[in-house]
Amino acid sequence: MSARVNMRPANKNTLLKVVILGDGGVGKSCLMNRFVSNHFDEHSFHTIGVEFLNKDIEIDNENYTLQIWDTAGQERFKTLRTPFYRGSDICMLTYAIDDKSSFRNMNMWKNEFLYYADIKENTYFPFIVVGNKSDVLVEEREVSQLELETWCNENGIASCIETSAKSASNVQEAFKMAVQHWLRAEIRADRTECTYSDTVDLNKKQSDSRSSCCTGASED
Amino acid sequence: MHGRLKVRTTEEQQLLKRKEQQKKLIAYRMGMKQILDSRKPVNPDIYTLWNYRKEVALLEINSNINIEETEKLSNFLENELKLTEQCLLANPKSYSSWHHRYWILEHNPEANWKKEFDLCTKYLTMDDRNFHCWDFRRLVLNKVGITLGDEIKFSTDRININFSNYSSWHYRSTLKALTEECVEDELTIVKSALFTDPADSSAWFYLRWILSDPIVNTEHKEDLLDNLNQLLEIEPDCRWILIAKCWLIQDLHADKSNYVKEQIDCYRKLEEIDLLRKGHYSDKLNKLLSAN
Amino acid sequence: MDYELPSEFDLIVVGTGVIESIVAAAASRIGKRVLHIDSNNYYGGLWASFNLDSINKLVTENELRNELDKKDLLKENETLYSVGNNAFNLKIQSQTWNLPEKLEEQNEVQTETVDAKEDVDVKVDESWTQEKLLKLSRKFNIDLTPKLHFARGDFVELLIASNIARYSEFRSVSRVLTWLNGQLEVVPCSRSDVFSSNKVSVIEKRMLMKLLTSCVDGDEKEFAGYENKTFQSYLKDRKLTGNLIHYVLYAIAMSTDDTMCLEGVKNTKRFLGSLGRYGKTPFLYSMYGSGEITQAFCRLSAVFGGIYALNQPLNGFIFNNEHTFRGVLCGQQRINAEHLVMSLEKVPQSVVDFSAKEYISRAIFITDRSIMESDKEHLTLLLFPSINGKRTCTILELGSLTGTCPKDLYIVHMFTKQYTSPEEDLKHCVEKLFYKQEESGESEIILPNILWSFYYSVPNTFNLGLKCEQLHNVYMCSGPDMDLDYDPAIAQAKEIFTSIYPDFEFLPRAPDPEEIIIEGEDNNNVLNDDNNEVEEHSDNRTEENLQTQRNID
Repeated sequence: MSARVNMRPANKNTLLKVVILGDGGVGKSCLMNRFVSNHFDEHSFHTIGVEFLNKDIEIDNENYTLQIWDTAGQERFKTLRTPFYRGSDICMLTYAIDDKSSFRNMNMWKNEFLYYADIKENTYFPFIVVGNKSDVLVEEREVSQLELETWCNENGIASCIETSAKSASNVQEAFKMAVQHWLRAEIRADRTECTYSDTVDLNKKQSDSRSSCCTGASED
Repeated sequence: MHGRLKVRTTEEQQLLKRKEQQKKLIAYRMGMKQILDSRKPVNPDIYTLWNYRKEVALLEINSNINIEETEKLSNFLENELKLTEQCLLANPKSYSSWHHRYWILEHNPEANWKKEFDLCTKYLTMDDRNFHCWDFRRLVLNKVGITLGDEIKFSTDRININFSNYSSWHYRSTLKALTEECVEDELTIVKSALFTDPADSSAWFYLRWILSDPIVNTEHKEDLLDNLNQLLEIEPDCRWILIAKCWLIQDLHADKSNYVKEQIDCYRKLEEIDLLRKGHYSDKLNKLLSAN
Repeated sequence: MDYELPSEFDLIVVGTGVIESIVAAAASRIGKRVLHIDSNNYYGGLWASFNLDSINKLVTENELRNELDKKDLLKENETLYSVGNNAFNLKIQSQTWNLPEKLEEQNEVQTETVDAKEDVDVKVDESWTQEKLLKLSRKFNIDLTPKLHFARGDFVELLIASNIARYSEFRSVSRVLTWLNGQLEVVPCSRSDVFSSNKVSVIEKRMLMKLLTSCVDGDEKEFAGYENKTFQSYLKDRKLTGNLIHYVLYAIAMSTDDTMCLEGVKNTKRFLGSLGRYGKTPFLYSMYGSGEITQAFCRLSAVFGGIYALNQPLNGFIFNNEHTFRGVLCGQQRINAEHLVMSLEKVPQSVVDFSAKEYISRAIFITDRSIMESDKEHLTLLLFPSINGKRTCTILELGSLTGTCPKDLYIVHMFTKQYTSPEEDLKHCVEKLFYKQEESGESEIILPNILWSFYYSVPNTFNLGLKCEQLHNVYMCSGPDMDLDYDPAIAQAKEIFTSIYPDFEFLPRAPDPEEIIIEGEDNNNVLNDDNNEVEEHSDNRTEENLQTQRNID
């Protein structure tokens, strides 16, 4: 399921596959909807039939198309596997500021990502950590900014940000930051190395019917 | 409403499309303006414009003979190449663009012929029926140190992938004159094509070219005649075989009566199966009959 | 973050094999509430692909977790059937390393190998060890049920029609081989192959092309009189030479001496009809392994609201007095649904009153070079003909470009109808294709070494005519079959789907992201002033059954 090959938008922007991971209820879909359509619904969840959403973003005069994949609820019973993760360029680890356990589970999500996305050992991958629901009241907050930074330091993750999909605070910034981070990461150089060439996309006719048997063009 | 999958209707998609088209139109107009401003031909086949460019280029070349200015000149020539590239992307079969490209390269003392050659290989892999590209390759070939053997291999590879292709057979015929050593190989490859698909005309023309070379001796021709008779047994209704057979007989045994009869049979058969050219065969037949 | 599964569904699918996954996708696609559940912690069941580590640890015993008292979860007049049986699982015959564990012990073995082949100019292998291979474990995607896809077959057409093609990526099989006169030969399958082959004479070229054309275009008249004759006799009557008969009969028609004429013609059509669409041969292979296929269907199901749960403690199926399906017991939770679709391995032992009549002998090898070396890496299908009373055998060689094994290694899959045991049944092919220590290497051709081998057999349950007579609203899916492609699996999935939902379309095209209107997206830009009207229109057009979103919170 290499999105890069088959689902490239028509324009020539650099296409980046983004997966947003984290426990159910931390606001993954809300973040995505806020970013893509600037819309918020508290009970926003996976929309039927939506595999991923595309959104163009401009950074330093370069255009990028972010292809943001929806977990489609599959994170709840941990049934996401290689086809979902493979070919990811950016991984956004999310938790809710008012939910400590979702913060603790980021370890698990990070490991799950590294395992299934088949990231080469010892290569740096551009994770970004997002603490969502920064709009909650101070007394409801269970994870402090300091805890977030500490965890990122311990895990060698360079970018983190607190957002609120509800109030639209920092959402654009978070995705922008993710791309900037990707730009800096080494993985960019390796990008083409790990993909396979000459693969077949069923939707494109590839070979020439002239070479087929019994259909030889004659007298042209 | 919530979570419902909504799919754009055809009307909506058309609206979107129209919008897109409008956007494209604006972009196109802007592009046109830029093109016209820089005197780039919109239609790459207006040769007056290309000739004008060539005159400008000659001026540039003659005025930039000082060593300090070579960089300026090479930039200028590089731009001309880019222009032909754009034109060829738009119309890969533009005579004027191909010609201009070659002309510019020829006038550039530092032309990168190897790069041109590699480009040819790439384009021919994508479309092996573009005879402009084959022609261009033939011109470039003389400028790069490619061995004849390598080039013949390239030609064989292309033909192996698709032998229904006049251009690649023709290109092959331009590579070298037939020699005693290679005539057998060429006959083998062309026979393979004839037998694989006798209804495909391209290889018959290549055969015609081989046979026109005096290096093909009587023995070769007799062999071929035998092969054609074998093939005719399997495919009695194939006009190409009959035509080639008549041609060979005429060449080998014009004066032998039993062969004349065979020829007559062939033409009668041709009259029957190839109605479009019936008159032509009748004419041949009459000539044969009156001569004998 | 333990979530409880919702407790009401329209359909519960147990097991994530190909047929089950297609049914789940098709049901979700028309808006049914689907729970897709597996007791394994991986997708695919007998159709899965594994990395090297996992396949070595593959445990076949279906653990029956059956200890708790669940009576209080049952209603009056309900009975609980336990999940799973031992009749339809795969049976591992052997799993062998032909490599030293680590490098220290290496020296001995290596000298042996070098001695045996010292006359030949071998490009000296990197010294593989078990440790080294296992370190690359995740570069392997080893299929339990490798499949190829005909470029114009049912599977490819289904993927395109349903738009599942967007999830998947394939690689063309680059050559088809056969075993002829004691050696491997490339089968000329396309017009350009026939032209360029130097193994057939010019006359043979014409004969072959003519025959292939008449198989494709020929009407009934062409085969009149051959209704009760073999395909071989037809080929002989067409005066084909021995080699040509071999190519057509054993490779292109994938047949045997006994195959009837019309079946041979049908097979030939299937092969030739798929030429010229993608690549040089009629076949495609799924990148990263055939196991990806089940996951593509499961992903489609999830995207359309299907709920997925792996590694589930399935404790039983609940039925009422009339033997009608009521629900499943998952851990301590009762989950109700109207219909049940399950893999054959999950069928309650007490219901299994039939057994497989036929088994498939299979083997997987990791080797250090291709069976037929060439200047570039090939993806090879070898159709090994029946010789000396041995059955025909299908062999698939995958290189690193398929994403199923590391660089410089190959995975070879072999399968045939079981006669005695996998090792016995496949021995003649193994002996001919691979290097054996006992023989001194006189041969000019350097044969690949087997580094690791895995022999197993699976029941061929395809033709059992699975109908659950005693239980109602229950559908069973057969396991892997002998077909090269998924045609029989698709047919069965479609049949199950249509018997549950007779009035619905099977896997209609899924819309692309740009065709979907996201709620809240500003449509005014697109639709100018007649926004409302168009929106209403689009509602009508939407499949009625996609109305409800299942919030699983």
